[in-house]
Amino acid sequence: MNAIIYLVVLPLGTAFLLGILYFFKKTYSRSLILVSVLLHSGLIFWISRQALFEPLLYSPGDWDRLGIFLLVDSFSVLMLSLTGLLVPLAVIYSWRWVDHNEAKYYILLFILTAGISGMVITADLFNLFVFFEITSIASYALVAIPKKDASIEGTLKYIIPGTIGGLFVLAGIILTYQGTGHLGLAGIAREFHLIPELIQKTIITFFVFGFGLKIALVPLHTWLPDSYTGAPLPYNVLSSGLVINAPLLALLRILYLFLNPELIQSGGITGLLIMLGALTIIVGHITAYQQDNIMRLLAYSSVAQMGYIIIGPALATEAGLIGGSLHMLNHALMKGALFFSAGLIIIKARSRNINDFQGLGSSLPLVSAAFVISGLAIVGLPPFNGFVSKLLLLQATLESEQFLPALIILLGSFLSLIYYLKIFTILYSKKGSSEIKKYDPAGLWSLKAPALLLSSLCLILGLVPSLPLKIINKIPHHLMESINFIELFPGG
Amino acid sequence: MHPGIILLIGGLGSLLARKKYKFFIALISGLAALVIIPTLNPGAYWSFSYLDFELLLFRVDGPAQIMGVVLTLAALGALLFARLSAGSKFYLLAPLYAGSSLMVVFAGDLLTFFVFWELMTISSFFLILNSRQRRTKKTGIYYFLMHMVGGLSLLGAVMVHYGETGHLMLAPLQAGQPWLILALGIKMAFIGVHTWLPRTYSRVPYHISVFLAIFTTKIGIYGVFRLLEPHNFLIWGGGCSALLGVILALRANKLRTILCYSIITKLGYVLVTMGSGSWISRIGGLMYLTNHIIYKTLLFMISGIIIYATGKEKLDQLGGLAGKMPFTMVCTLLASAAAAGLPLTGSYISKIILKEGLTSGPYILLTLIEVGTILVFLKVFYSVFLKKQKRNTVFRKKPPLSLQAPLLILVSVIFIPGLRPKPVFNLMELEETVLELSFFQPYFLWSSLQPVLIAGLLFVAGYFVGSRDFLGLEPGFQHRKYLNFDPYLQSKKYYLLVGEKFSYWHNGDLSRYLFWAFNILLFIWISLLWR
Repeated sequence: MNAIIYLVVLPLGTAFLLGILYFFKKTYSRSLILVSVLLHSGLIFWISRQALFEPLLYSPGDWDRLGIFLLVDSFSVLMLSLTGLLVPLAVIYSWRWVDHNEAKYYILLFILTAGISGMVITADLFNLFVFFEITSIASYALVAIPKKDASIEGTLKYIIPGTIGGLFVLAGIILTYQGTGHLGLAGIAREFHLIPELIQKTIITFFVFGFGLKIALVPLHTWLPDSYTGAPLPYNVLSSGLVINAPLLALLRILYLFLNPELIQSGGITGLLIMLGALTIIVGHITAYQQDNIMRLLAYSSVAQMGYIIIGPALATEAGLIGGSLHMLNHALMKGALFFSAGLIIIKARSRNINDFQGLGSSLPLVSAAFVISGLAIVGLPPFNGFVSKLLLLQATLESEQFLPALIILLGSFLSLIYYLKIFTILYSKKGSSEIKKYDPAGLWSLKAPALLLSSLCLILGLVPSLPLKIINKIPHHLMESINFIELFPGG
Repeated sequence: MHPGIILLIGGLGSLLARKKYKFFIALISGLAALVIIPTLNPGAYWSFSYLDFELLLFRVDGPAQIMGVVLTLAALGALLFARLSAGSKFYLLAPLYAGSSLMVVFAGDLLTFFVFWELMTISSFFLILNSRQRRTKKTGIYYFLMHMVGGLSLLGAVMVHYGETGHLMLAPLQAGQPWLILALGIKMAFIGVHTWLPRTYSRVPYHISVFLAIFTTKIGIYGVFRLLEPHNFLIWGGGCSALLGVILALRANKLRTILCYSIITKLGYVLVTMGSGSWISRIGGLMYLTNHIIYKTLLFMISGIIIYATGKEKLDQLGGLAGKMPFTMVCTLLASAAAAGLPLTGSYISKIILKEGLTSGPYILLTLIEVGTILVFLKVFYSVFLKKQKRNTVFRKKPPLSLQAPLLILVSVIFIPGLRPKPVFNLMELEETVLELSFFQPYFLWSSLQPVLIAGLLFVAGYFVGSRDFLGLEPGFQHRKYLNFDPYLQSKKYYLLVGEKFSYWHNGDLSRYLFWAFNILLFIWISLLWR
């Protein structure tokens, strides 16, 4: 299936084209951006529809011997459809939001899209690392785009741990290649058990640590709040929805394929990841309450949500994998809605401090409703989508008789409610509205539409969870039994 | 058609309507629900599948119908009552709140039960938040957090039960009872976790407190009826809760706070019946609950009228209203008669039925609680209407008809089941022996008067012999520290302390962050090697 490669080529090519176009003539750049983004989404839609029936495979450049493949299975479909949804919304939102370094911003955005698309469809460690680094470097640069003190500081705090994480991923890849002689995931899945146990565990450590830095598991999360503070808001949406989820997907593929689920459970990885996840939930939520800056607050909330997302797959059961994947999807939507609506509130309040949001509930009724809906969703209250995925996670933990994470999931909901309630009450408290100026940028639909769309998705996916579950229910098939994955490849 | 869904649609529909018509949309949807509920066929159900669960969104049986009718009636009264002072969001939130309560009442499975249980919390939170007073902000947060604890433990209990049994039918849970008891306890304001109740209801505007008082706690005890097996500890727990409620009510000074403690007392009373093994007394308890809903709504309305008329609600600032508000006084007397279970009222009948199946221990307990309740009513009635105030209570404005008319409707409802109990019996499918009881035989009449007499004697004795302080009639009695102690509010301090520590550790020092990172790297490596 040749079209797969265009998932990467299209945004990458657009990035180069944009650079040239900005150099000569700026007028058509926006239409080029829009056309390319919509084409990409259309391509994703088209490919995903086929990949749902049977995973699609493409071998770029006939590197069969090393096992270099691109693969679109249902796990990739999940992330790809998120990309196809969030990137256009972020681009639309950016038109009003990003006011300087516009050219560089869009170029980097497309490189980021290419990196993420590549990362979720590679079936080998070599491409994985390449796209991993493309994504990372694009993200570092995007954080620095506003050129404010906070964003430079955020970049610095992001780039150093990020690079260290990349280094360990690379070390893990090198060790794996040395031990098995393969780069393709299928080949490694077949022969990983032949590596000496010490090396095996070291490799797993390196991967968990390297990707863990990107996933922002506590205490490896420290870069995330700092980078969110200064970064452009649409990037934060992509970061919460895609940039921290793509490494998780890679990590899960590696863990599930290299080791089998029984080995994950018995080898201490379940316990380790659950412990990290629980710590992430607790620390993330409690620290979020302390924040006055809405960006930092939402950043810590993202950190905490990653805890839920890791706990599910850490159980190494089918139910856990499904619950975690659904929460990954839901979190991307909820956090997108929260960031987008918070952006409008920030514009109206002219401040990022939540204490300045007083009384904006009545002057921004729709946007505040969107914020409240997505906030209730992320807390995990019915009938919104967060409830469904937390319910599935809870059920999965109870099924595998892990009572501590079950308790932590419930406790986490309570802790997150505390700080979201704080914002809700501030939003809906009464205040003399004399200070609000006539100029009302918050009335612009390019900012409102993404927020409203995502928050209505939060409600719809809560009422009809079977829609995303159609994709997600197929995920365990290729991960739980590595033989199913190996058979996808020629010679498997 | 599901009555709850009608109300939910009515609530959402008011979003589209102009401000003038919002009230009528809410009213019509309420009336529609009221008309529909009695026509439903017991045994009807709607099933559908959600995720992997087979759910019953809607299941009709006698108890649910009775609860539904009474809740809708009370809600309609409260809606009429609120018309004077409600803002436009009230007509969105109040029907949502009422609708989700009806969804809980008619739920046929645990997940539906839980979902609408939480929706009740959400809608009532925004109802509280919607009011203009500044203090309601913190009150609302407190209310929501407390109910969130309850909701989450209900979810935990339901999922544990599902793991054990593999089904979600609405039936007494087989596993996870401690969590369930916590959830139900918080919802029904069991003593010890009751702190949200007086805090919330006495601080919101009066029309909202009328509305809140109808649903939240009552749905809690309805949950006990549905989800808990009868057990002795319910009897003793209910007794403790009720008697402590009496003591707290006697110590309280604010009109609505007293009514809140009186709710706690009455729900404790119903809980005693839920704990007894006999079906008749459980059903009788439920019937008593329905009567309680009506007269308690009435009493909250009366307190609203007093607040409207005088602008005050502290007992030591009120007094001598008998001459100024005779209509209100008569309504209070009738509502108190219902609360005391005097003949001709509905609670008289249900009291006889619930006592049919009891042994002597709980019987005495119930009588004690009744005495306490009446004592509280005597205190309130005396302080508000009879007591001579040195400076006359300022009578600001005359309550308009729109506040008084709903009282008339509900007062008439008090007596309907008392005079014509047959339809209720049929719905509850009570046995023949109960139907053949003659309710007005001298024994029952005498035993219904007993607690009133005892309480009256106690009150007079207390009044003259000098424990006026105990009855809470002296000014200044309410400043007792232990009465205001709230462990849940104290725990906020520790929560903030932990949070401050966490954000203190996140000081932005990159070298510290890298130090953490490498430690965790070592930790991962060692913990994996250890296996």
